[in-house]
Amino acid sequence: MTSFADSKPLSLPLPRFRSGTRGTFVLAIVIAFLALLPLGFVFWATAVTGWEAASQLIFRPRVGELMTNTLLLVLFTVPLATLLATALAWLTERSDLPFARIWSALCVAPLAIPAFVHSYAWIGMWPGFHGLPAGIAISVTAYFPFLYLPISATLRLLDPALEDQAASLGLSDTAVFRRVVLPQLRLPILGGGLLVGLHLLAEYGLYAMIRFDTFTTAIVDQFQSTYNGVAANMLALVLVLCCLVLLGFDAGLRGSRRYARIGSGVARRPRKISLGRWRYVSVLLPLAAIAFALGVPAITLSHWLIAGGAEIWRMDEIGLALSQTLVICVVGGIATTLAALPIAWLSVRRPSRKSRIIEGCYYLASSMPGVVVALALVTVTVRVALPLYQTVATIVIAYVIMFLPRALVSLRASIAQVPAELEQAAASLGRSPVNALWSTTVRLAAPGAAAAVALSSLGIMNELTATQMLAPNGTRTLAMAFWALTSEIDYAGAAPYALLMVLFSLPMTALLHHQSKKISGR
Amino acid sequence: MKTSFLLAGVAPAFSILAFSVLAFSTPASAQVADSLTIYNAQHEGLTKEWVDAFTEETGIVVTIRNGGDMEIANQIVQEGANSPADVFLTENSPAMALVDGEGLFEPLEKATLDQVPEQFRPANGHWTGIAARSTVFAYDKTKLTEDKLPKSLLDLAKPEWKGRWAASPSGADFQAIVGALLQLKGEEATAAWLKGMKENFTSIRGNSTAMKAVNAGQFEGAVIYHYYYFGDQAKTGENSKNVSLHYFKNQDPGAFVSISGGGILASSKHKQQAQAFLKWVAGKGGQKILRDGSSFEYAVGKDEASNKALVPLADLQAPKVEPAELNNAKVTDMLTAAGIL
Amino acid sequence: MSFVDIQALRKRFGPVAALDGVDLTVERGSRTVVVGPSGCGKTTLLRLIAGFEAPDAGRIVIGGDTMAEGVTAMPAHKRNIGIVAQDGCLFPHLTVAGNIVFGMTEEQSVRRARAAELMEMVGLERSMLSRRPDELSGGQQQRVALARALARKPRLMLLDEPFSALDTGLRAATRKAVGDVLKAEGIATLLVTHDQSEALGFADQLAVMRSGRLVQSGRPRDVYSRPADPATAAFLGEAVILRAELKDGHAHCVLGHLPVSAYGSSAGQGMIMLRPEQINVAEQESTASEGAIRGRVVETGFRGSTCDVRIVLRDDENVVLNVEVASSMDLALGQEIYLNVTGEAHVFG
Repeated sequence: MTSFADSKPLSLPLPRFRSGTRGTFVLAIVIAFLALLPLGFVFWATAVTGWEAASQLIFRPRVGELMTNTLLLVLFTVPLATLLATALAWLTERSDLPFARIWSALCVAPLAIPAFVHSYAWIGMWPGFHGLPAGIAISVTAYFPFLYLPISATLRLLDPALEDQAASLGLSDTAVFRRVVLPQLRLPILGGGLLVGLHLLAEYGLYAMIRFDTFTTAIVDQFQSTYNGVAANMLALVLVLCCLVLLGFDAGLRGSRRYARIGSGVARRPRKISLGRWRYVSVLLPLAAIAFALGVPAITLSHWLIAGGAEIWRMDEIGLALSQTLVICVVGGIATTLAALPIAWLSVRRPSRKSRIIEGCYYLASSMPGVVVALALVTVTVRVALPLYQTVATIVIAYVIMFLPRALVSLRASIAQVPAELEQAAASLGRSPVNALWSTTVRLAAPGAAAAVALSSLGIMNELTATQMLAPNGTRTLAMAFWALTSEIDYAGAAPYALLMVLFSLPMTALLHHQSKKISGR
Repeated sequence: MKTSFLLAGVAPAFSILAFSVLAFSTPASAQVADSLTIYNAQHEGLTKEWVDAFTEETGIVVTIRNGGDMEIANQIVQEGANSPADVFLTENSPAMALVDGEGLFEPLEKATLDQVPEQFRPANGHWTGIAARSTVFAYDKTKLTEDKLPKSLLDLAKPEWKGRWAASPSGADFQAIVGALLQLKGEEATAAWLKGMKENFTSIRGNSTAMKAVNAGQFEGAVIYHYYYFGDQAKTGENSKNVSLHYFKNQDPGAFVSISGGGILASSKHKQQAQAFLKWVAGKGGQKILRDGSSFEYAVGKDEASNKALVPLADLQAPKVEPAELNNAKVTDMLTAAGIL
Repeated sequence: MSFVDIQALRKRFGPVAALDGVDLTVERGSRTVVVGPSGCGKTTLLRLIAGFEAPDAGRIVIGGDTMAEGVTAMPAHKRNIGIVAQDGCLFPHLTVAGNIVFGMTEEQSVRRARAAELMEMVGLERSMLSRRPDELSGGQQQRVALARALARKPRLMLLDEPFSALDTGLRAATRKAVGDVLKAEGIATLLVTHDQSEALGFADQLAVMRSGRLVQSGRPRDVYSRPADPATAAFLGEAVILRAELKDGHAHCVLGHLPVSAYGSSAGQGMIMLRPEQINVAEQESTASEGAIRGRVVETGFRGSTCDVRIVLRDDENVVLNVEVASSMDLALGQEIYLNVTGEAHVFG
C-alpha cells in the first residue's frame, strides 16, 4: 500500500492488519491450550499423586500384562494391515484386476462400520473368538482402510515414468516395485500406520467385546469402578506415554524429507500391469478382505434384524437416539470445523514456525485416546468449571480436541486451492475487504469446509467412551444405546442402532473416497 | 482484513458453545418443575419399566443418566452439593454405602421405609433396598454334574479350578460379592482368595456375557447373579440352554444376597417428587413390576411375592451380611492389588 | 545392416493409430532426431524402442538382436537401452549417487568410482553426489539423468525431449554437453523433440513424423531445403510457398522466373517453396538485382539484430511474404521495396 502525505488516512492501515493476524494467532493458541488440556491433566494428576503412589500403580504386574497385550496388538496389527492395504491398493490401482473400481470403493466402505460393530459381528458369527488373535484379526479388518486410502491415492499419483526409467536401467517388475514404488509409499504407509496405531491404543468397544484387555479397556474398567480414581489416571499416563512413543517413532522414521515429483508436466496415467493367468485368482484377496470387513457385519446384522423382527424397532427410543446423535454430530462437526479455521488459515496464508508448532499441538492432542480426554474434562469441569459439567459444551470440547485434525486437513487443502490474489482481485473490483473474502475464499473453500464437518461428524457418530463419560443427563446416542444393549447380550435389540450408524456413516465414507480420488485428479 | 472475517467466523463457534452451555448446563430437572433426574446404575430395562409406570401414574417426567454402581456413586461424591441428581438407584449396596458415607443422602420418609423389612435396609434410614439378587454359580450342565460342583465359593480359588471359570470383576455385582467375602472372612482370607482367583479365572465384561460364554462351552462355570439366567430363559433361552444354576446355600459367602438400593440426594431440589418415587418403587407398584416384569430380581417389600419361577428368597440360606457396611473402596483396591482390575 | 532397424511398426491406442507403419534405420554411433508436432507418435515410437510398450505389429532389431516382433516384445529391463526423459525423472527418494548407480550390479567400490567418473563426464561437481534431486537445477538434473543412463553402458541412448524444460540459454549448453559426451562414448542416439531448431542442430539424420507416419528422413540440410510436402516445409521453418508454372527447368511465379532443383515429371502447374533467407530486400531499385519484384511493407516487428517484415507484392496484393531483414535496414510502413530471389526454388513432387 502506498500512501501519499496529502491523502486522507487509509481506512485499513497496515498496523491494524498485523494486529488482526495476531488476533487469529491468539485464537489459535487459546484453542491449542484447550487441546493440550488432556495431556496437561495426565501429568498434573501424576504430580498430585506423588511419585511413590504413582510408581506403585504403574510398576505392577497388571500394567505389564496390559503393556504386553497392547504392544503385541500394535506389533501384529499394523504390519498385517499395511501388507493387506498395500496389496489391495496395488491390485485395484495398478493391475488389471476385474472390477477394480468396485473393489476400490468396497475397500473404503468398512470405515462406515464402527469398530465395535465389527467385533459385535464377529462374535455373532464365532462366539468363542477372543483375546489377542481376535483382537488382531478384527483390528486388521476394521482399520485397513485407514492405510488403503492414502496408499491407493499415492499409487495413483506416482509418476509412472519413474518406473519406466527403472525398467530401462535393468530392473524387473518385482525389483521396480521394491526399489522404486515401495520407497515412495513410505509416507502414506507411515501416516496410515500411525493412524491405525493410535486407534488401536484408543479403542475401547472393539476389545471390550472380545475380552481383550488393553490400557484403554482397563482405564474404562477403573473409571467404572472408581470414577476419576487415581489408578485410572496412572493407567492414562502410561497410555499417553505409549502414544508419545508411537508419535516419536513415526517422526523418527519419517525424517524431514518430502518426496515430491520433480520436474514439470502432467504425469502419464499409470500403466496397468497384466496379471495374466493370476487375474482371476487375485480376486480372492479383495474378496476375502471384503467378506470379513463387510460380509461378516452384513450377515450378522441381517441375522439379528430378521430374528428380531418388528419388535426390535422401538421407534420412540430409536428415534430419540437418532435425533440426539444427529444433533451432537452436526453441532460437534461445525464447532470442530470452526475451531480448525484460525490455524487452517494461518498455516496456509501466514505459514511460520509458530503456526507449525500450534498445528503440532492439535495433532498431539488428537492422538490422546477419548477416555483420557474424557477423564481430563470430567476432572476439570467438576473442579474448576462446574457450570460446564455434563453439558453439550463439554462434550463438544471433547470432540473438538479429538477430531480437530480431521477438519484441519480438509480446510487447509481447500483454502490452499484458493489463490490469495483472488481476494486482492475482488478488492480491486471495489469489494470491501470482508465482502472480498466472503465472495472469494469463503465461497471457494466452502466444499472443503463441508467435507471437514462431514469428516468430524463421522468420528463423532462412532465415538463411544468420551460420549458415555461426558454427555448430558438423558443423552443416549446410537453408539451408547448399541453398547448398552449388547452389554445385556440383547444382540437383536442392538441391531437397528448398528444399522443406523452404518447407514448414516456411509455417505460420509463415500465422500472420503470421492475426495481421495479428486485429490489425485482421477 | 482477512482477520475480521476469521473473527467473524470463529465467533459463532463460541456462541454455539455458549448456547450449549445455556441450553444444557442447567439440569433437566430445573427446566421442568415437576421432573426428576435419576442417576441409574440398575439395569436400564428395569428402571425404565419403573419410570414408565411411575410417570404414567403421577405425570412426573423423569430424566435418566445410566452408568455403573461405583462410577455413579463416585461421580455423585465428586459433584457434591452441586449434583444434578435427585435419586440414585443401584444394583448393589456398596455404592449406596459410599454415598451415604459422604453424608450426601436425605433421610427417607418413614412410610417408605416401613414398606421394607429391616434386613433389606440400613438402620439409619438414609436409603432403602428396592430389590435383591442371589449369587449363583452358573455352570455348563453338559460338562459338570452336581457332585463335581464347588461346595463353597472359596473352592474356586483352589488349583483344580484353574482355567475353568469366569467372572466380571469390573462390574459392581462381583465387587459386592467380594465385599461380602471381605466382611465375612476378613482381609487376609479375601486377599488369598483373590490371589487364587487371579490364577484360575477368566475376566469377562458383563454377567450376561459370562453366562453366554458358559453356555457356549468356553468355561465350565461363572460366578454371576441368578436373574441373568431367568431373564434369558424367559426370552429365547438361546444363551442359557446348556446352563444350570448352582446355589451355594449354607451361609456360604457364595450364597450372598445383594441388595439393590435407592436413595435421595440431600442436594435435590425436587425432594417431594423424589420421595414419592422411592415410596412407589419400594411399595406395591414397584414391587409388582419385580414380580411380573422381565427383571427376575427378588422383591424386597413386606409381604411382596417374587416371580414364581425363582427359588424363594427364604430358601437361599444366605449369610448374614450388613449391606450398609460393604466397603467397596477397599474391594477395588484389593482387586487392583491382585492385578484383576 | 543398420544398427537399429525398424520395420512397419504399428501401434494403436483404442481408435487412434499412434504409429501407422513406421520404418526407420539408425547407423552405429550416429545421432538421429525424430521430430514432429505433439501427438504425431514420436513418443510412442520411443517407448516401443525402449520396451515400455509392445507394438501391435512390425519389427524392432537393435544390433542384430530382435527386440520386438509382432506383439511379442522383450521387456524393457533386458534391452540395455538408456533413456533420458523430459524432466530427468530422477528418483526423488535417492541421492544423486543413488540415482547414478541405481542400475549397476557391480560391487560397491566399483559403483562409487564409476559414479564419480560419470559426474566428471557430464560436467558436474563430485560434491553433488550426496545431494537430493530436488536440490539441483533443471540442467543439473538432466546431466545426472544422463549419467545414470550412461552408467550401464547402454547400446542405444534415447532422449525424450530432454532439454525442453530448460531455459533457452541452458538448453543449448546442456544439449551440446550431452551431445559431446554421447559422441565421445560412441553411443548411437535417438532424440525425440518437437523443437525444429534443436532437431536441425543435433541430428546426423533427421526423421520427420506426422500422424503416426514417418514423412521424410535424411540429412538435416536436405530435409530442410527439400521437404517432402508443404506441411513438413512449414514445420521445419518459415517457408514461402507459391503456385508456379514449371517449364524449361524454371518455375514461373509472381516472384519471377526461378531456377528449380528438379521437378521430375510434374511439368505444368505445381507448388514451389522458398526459404525466407533466399529472398533479399533492397530499398532502392539501384541496389537491387536485375528483375527485382516490387513490393510494399505492411507490417514490421523489431527483434533486436533482425526485423520481421511483412510484405505484399505490388502486382498481386494477395501474395504476402514474411521475411527477416537486418535491423540496420530501417523500413517504414507503406515503404516500397525491391525483392530478389537467390538460389533454387524447391518443387513439391
